[in-house]
Amino acid sequence: MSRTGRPFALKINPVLVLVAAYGVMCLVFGMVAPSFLSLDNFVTIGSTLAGVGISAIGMTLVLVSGGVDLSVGSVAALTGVVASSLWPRFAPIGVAAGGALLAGLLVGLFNGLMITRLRINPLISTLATYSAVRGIAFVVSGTQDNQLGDPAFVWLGRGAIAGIPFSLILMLTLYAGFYFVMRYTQFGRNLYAIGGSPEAARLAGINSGRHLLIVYGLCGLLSSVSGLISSAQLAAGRPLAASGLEFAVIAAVVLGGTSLAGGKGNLWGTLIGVIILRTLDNGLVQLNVSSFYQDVARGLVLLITVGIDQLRLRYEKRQQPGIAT
Amino acid sequence: MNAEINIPLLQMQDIEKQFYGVTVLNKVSLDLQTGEVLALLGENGAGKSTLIKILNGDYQKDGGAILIDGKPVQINRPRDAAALGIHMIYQEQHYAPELSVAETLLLGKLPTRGIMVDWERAYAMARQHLNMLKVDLDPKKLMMNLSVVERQIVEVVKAISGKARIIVMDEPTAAFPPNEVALLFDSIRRLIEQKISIIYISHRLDEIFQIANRATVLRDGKLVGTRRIEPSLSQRDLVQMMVGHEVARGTSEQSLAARQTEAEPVLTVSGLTADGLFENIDLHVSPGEIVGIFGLLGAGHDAIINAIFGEIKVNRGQILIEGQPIGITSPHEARNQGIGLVPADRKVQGLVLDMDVRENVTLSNWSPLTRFGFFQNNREREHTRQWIDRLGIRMAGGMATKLRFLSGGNQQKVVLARWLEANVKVLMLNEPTWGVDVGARSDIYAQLEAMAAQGLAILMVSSDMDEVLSVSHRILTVYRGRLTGQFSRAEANRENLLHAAAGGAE
Repeated sequence: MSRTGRPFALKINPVLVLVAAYGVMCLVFGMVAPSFLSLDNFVTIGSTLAGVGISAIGMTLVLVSGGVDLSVGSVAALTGVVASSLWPRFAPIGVAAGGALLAGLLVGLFNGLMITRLRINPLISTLATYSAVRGIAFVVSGTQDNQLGDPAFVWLGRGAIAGIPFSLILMLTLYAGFYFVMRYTQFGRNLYAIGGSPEAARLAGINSGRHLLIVYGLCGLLSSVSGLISSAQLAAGRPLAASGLEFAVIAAVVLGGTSLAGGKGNLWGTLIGVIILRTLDNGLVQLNVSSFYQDVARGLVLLITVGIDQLRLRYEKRQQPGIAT
Repeated sequence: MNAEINIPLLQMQDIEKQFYGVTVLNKVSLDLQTGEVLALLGENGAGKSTLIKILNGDYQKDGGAILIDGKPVQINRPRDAAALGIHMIYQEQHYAPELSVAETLLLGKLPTRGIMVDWERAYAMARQHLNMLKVDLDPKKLMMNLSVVERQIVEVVKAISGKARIIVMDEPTAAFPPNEVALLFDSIRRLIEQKISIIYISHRLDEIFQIANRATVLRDGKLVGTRRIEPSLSQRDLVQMMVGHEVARGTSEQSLAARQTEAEPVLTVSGLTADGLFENIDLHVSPGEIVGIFGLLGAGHDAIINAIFGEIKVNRGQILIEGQPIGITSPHEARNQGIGLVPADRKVQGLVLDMDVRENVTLSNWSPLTRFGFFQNNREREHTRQWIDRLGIRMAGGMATKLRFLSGGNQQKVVLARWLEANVKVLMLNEPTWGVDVGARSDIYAQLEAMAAQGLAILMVSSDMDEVLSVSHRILTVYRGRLTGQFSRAEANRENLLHAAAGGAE
């Protein structure tokens, strides 16, 4: 049964593989484009993480619980649009931002209700909101970009504390918080159980429906925070914003070792996945690679990492001892 | 009677089979005449399935010979069996729900005109096949719209249209609703008229007496004998052959009796009915009591505890916990009422295989282990350690070992530990030792007894007679969704249990 000659990449901790791959990538970029390895550049990379990274927290929760959410990009766009429509005409900036977050939360809860109550497959129900919410964003915005120039608001996206971008600090704080939730709380543990074996989780007396509702609500809310930060960086609410975000987010989460089949993954890996993808984008820009090749590169990186993950999975399955019957 | 003199259609002579050094068939012989129904009887594990799997080429025999029309044949794989006209019909049905009856019958050989299917001809051919058994079924009907019985009959028709001479039916009526067995029997009688022979495996003695000409009985992998089914033979005679001599059993009745009579029942079920599964079930379990529900496969006994756990919708009846009527519609609510269930399929239903031992043990009950919703690692470890020691859970890498890597018995102990950790009042178990090795089995039995002694009420469903007899304080039998008997530990023996569970008349 036991097969020797397990490929080297499968022997060591997957997170270490990612960190090592990241180091190699940085060195290669550094050699070709010397400006890449400067501190300034890494601060720049840091300031671009939150747009993908905060939404990726929500996506990690969703994937671990065995689902998927395709609507995160549309939700992020809706958030900016709602905020820029409310401010300054109808509400002060704080209320406008709050309303925008509420909109994101509601879309997430709507996803959750469709999935848990109507039992619609998550892929389909969030594909529906992916399309519908983007449409709503266009309608609400009057199909145009609207200014969001309040200085305090713009600071959320562009400001820094002691040289560290505020958006990065916010993102890391959220990662730390949700890391603890996923690892040390019953709620987090139940998500792994629901994703790993829905049947066993239900028969253990876990109220799966309520857990999933909360998870999709959180994913909507966190994607909304992502959208808010992005529109603060742009100082505008754009109905076209964050198009393709769902791809970047799912790619980062999967890159970080979270299984699309559910029950497996952690935020630590997701964080590294986000950093790798954003650094890759940055490096390719510095090399003046056309954006089409950037898309190709992203796709290849995703294929390679998921391929390695599949090999590891198959290896683990083979390890299962024969059980007497 | 003529057939008796002729050479039997099929002879299996001195068949031997071992699995991993354990003999499961020891020189078993049977013969089948042209146009007869031979019943093959025996308890679970007697070797019936192994024997027919050898006949079908699924397994290779280690010794003995198979003869057809008196000539030795080699059956190395199912295709060889099919070529000899041997056809199996299994209890679980495999069919494509979206295909019509005609498509099912003519699968792979639909008549065509050019590249188009010639539906006119296909339906005509299907009708012709159905007419052989005088079955009145619309060939255009989709398989998913047929009843279980009708689907089974389509299987039979398919077998004879494939020129089968021997049809083996393995518990064909297990999933049938009551009263629909007659339909299948009509078809069987028509098969007999056409000189097709049948090996009929069933636990249901009343069926055997209706349809079979002879019965061959196996016990513990050995041939007990073959009897002609005739008026002088009684169901009890056959049961006697199946179970052999009564095995003596140690009992310690007094303390038990005391425990049961004093206590008010924790769980009371009255008139519980789920249409099509079980009817009018009354039962109660007291603290400290282990009640076993025994039934043969397909009797519906497992549905009863699934219904109590909120997994199956009930149509009528009441469930009471400590005298209070409760409405349970989900496992979540059942757990909150203090009811736990150890499901039959632990890998799919019982455990999260990619989580470790500790996480699986605390899956159902966390409140004592958390503060402000966060796990207190030390307490969680301590509790898990306690169950590992107490139940003797063995694993290679400590409590951080993923459940995937535990053996069946140890996995089952983890499920057990989870409900004990959850501190339930009523623990229900469905086939608690399926696929569990002998050592772990006795650990589990000992633990159940110990937990009962501390006041847990245990309700166990099992198709394993030895298990029911050795663990239960009180035994109920179920046949076709109805309670057919109640036995105290002292009264119960293999014979009267099997008799009641097979729906046998007194």
